[in-house]
Formats: sequence, structure tokens, C-alpha cells
Amino acid sequence: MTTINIAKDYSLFTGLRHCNISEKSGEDFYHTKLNTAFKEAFEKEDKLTIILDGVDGFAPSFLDEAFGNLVYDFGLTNVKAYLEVASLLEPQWIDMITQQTYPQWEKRREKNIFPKKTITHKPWFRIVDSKIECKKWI
Amino acid sequence: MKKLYTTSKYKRYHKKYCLKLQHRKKYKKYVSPLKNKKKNNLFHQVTAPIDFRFLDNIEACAKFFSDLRKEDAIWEKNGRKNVFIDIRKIEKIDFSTAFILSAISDEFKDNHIILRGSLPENEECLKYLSDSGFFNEKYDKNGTKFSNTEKTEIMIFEKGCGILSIEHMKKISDTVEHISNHLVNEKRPNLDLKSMLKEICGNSIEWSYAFNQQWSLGIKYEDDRIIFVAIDLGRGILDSLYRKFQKKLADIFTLKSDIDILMGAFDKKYGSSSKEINRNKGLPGIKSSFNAGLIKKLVAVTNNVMLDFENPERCIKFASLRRTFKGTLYKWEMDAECLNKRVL
Repeated sequence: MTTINIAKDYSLFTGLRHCNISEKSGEDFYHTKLNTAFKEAFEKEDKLTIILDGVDGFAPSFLDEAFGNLVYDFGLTNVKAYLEVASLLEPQWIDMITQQTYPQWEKRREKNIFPKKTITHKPWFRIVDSKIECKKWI
Repeated sequence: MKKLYTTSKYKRYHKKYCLKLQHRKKYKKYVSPLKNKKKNNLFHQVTAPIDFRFLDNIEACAKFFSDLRKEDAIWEKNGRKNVFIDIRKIEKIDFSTAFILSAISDEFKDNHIILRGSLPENEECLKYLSDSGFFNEKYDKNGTKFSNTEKTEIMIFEKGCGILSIEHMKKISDTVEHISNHLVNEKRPNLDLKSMLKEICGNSIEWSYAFNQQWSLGIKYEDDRIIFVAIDLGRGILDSLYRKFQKKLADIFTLKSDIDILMGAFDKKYGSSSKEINRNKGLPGIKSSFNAGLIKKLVAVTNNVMLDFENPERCIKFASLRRTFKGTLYKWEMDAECLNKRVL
């Protein structure tokens, strides 16, 4: 099982939704950490655990953008199967992610409403026709 | 093409003309803008109401701030833009007002506009403004700089512009920990409050379209409570709200007022202007912090509406469209009891 502790492996201070409005944003976390880590877990059929505790307060938009993009690129079924979000101190974020972010972003995926990218990112992984592809999608 | 003066008659005429021009070219004496008031129709002074408390005399204060930020208030002299305020007669002032005035003053500074005016005659009001740091980087009538008010334990202002940096986040974090130290003599992380403050700053940066994406957070420490004021001088929530056509139509038919529409935005009834389905988590988050008891006496003022979450009877829609508040202001209080509450 692979684990990412956001406070230790990414940053103690996390920002807002997009890179153009804050440092250490949800968009940045997704493209620098979460996308590749999830792809590896998916290929190994392993579980990826994201630990929220230890971060100095989350903005809900950070979490929504990070985990929402994952649903958009890999689909809700795969995310539910291979991802676990853990938090003892702030369990309300797990509720928000599973009850709001997941269904809303799955709807976006079905409707093909592209996620907004505010800076140019390196190529990233996405499942297309059950195959993982890596490119600059936007 | 330059005219050639070939005949003696025109040469004489030209010489005389040049001398006349030279004679005319004199440096103008500096005339105080106040003395020049009658000569120049463009001079305009914005007068503050006597009761200069934003949340208690909201329409008059909103009109003052609205007039102050209008193009008409700018008086150009020697290529410099000036705005004159008259706050001599004010008798009452509160934290929100001092804070808004300070934010507007910063906005003027960024736009290279000089804020000029008189000092309050009332000593308490003068001291209040001085403590709030309003006179920092300002000069008296003799051109002497006012002494800067250092950050005191009474009032603290955190301001930022551009993107939310890690430095800003650290400052917010330190401030929140200082709050619990003040209220219960113990440093607590208070993650819910940090989340809320980040979201307020984020809303200001992303949606307000304020000059330079500015946001300001003011904190006033009192014996057993702390007052917070967060503002941006942008478009305001009602102007940045996205309502679907059917909802807009339904609101018209059901005679929904701006108060109900703004309350609806806090209840997640409307989308954000990005029209993305997963957005609009910030405003409901602020309301859930209030509902959970994490903060008390929450008031939000934006455009032409004041929402009082604790006393809904105090909610106001401004009578005149001239008196709208361009921007968004949140004011809330915290005491020791709030520190034990959590957002679930």
C-alpha cells in the first residue's frame, strides 16, 4: 500500500483551488503528486492512501480540485477502488470529498466539461478506453 | 511646415509675438487646493456622516464610501490626482469603518491617488483612527510625516494582494494561534477557522476583481472577545453570482428580494459565476462555521444588502442604489466558547 502524507510529502501549508490564485494549490498537488501516485497504484492494483492530518487547515477548494481532477481523469469507479482518504482530526473533509466532490466531478466527466488549468503542466495520465495514456490533455 | 517670415513687416510681427510669448511664460505660484476651491468647479470634498459606524449607520456610511471611490471625487492638480475627505465632524467610529477607510486609502495609494483631508475634531475618533494605522505613511499639513503606529495588541491588519502565498498562509496561521492564546491562554491550531479564513481570502482573490486582487483581514482584541473584519473592494457577491435563467425568472415571479438571493448563495442555492457544478463551496462553508458556533454575530455586507445571520430582522436592503457598498465585508466575533466548537 502506498501512502502520501500531504503535510510531510507535499506541504504543511496548502492553498486554494488553482495555481493562478495561490501557491501550493489543489491543481498543483494533483499534477505534481496525486496523478502519478494514483497511476502507479492503479497499475499495481494497489491501494493509495492520502493522509490529510497534519496540514495547517485545508481550504475546501484545494481538496475539491485535487480529488475532483482524479475522478475526471480516472473515473469514479477506479478512484473508489484504489484510493483511500484518511483523516482522524478533520473527518468532515472525507464526507465532503465522497459526498460532493466525487459525484460532481463524475458528472463533469460524463458531460466532458474540461477542468480548468491555469498554468502549463507536464503531460499527465488519464484513462481512455480502459487504457492509461500520458499527454498534455489541455 | 514652418512659416518663413521674409518681409520686414512679418519679421517685426513675429519678433513681437515671440517676446509676448516669453513674457507670458511664468511659473505658476502654488495655490493650496483648498484656497483654489471656488475657482475650480471640479473640486469636490466627500464629507463623512457624524455617526461614522458602518454597521450602525450603514446607508450613510456606504454612500460616503461609494462617493469617495467615484471618479467625480478625484480632483486633478498639476498632474496629480487628489481625493479630499472631510472627517472633521465625526463623533462616532467603529472598527469596520476604520478598516474600510484604511483599505480604500491603500487602494488609492496603488492607483497613485493622494488622499487628503482634515483630522477629526473628536479626540476619541482621532485616536481610534491613529491606532488603526490609518495615518501610517501620511503627512500633516506642514508636510511632516505622521509617526507610524506599530502593530499593537489591540488591532492587527493583515493585507495581501496577488496570489495567496505561503507567507500569507503562515501569517494567517500565526494570527489564529494568537487568538486562542488571547482567549484561553493556550495555543490551539483551530483548523476550522484557518480553513474559513483561507476560503474568504480565496473568494476575494478569485471572484472580487478588486484592484490587484487585494484582500484585508482586521482583528481587534478586546478583553473577552475578538472582532474580525474581512473585506475586499471588488464587485461584491451579488454581482458575481450566477443564477440560471429559470431560477432568475422564478425569483422575479416570487418577488424574491436581494436579501433572499444573497442568503440563498450562502445556502448553496445558486452557482458561482464560473458555472462549474463543483464550485460554490466557500460561502456555504462560512455559514456552516456560524451554524456550528465556531464564530458568532456574523454579518455580511455586499452591494446593496446587509445580512445579519444572528438577527435576521436586522437584514437590510439599501433604499437607494446610490448607496451601495462596492465590495464585500464580513464581520464576526469569537470568544472562548467558540474555541470548543467544531464544524461537523
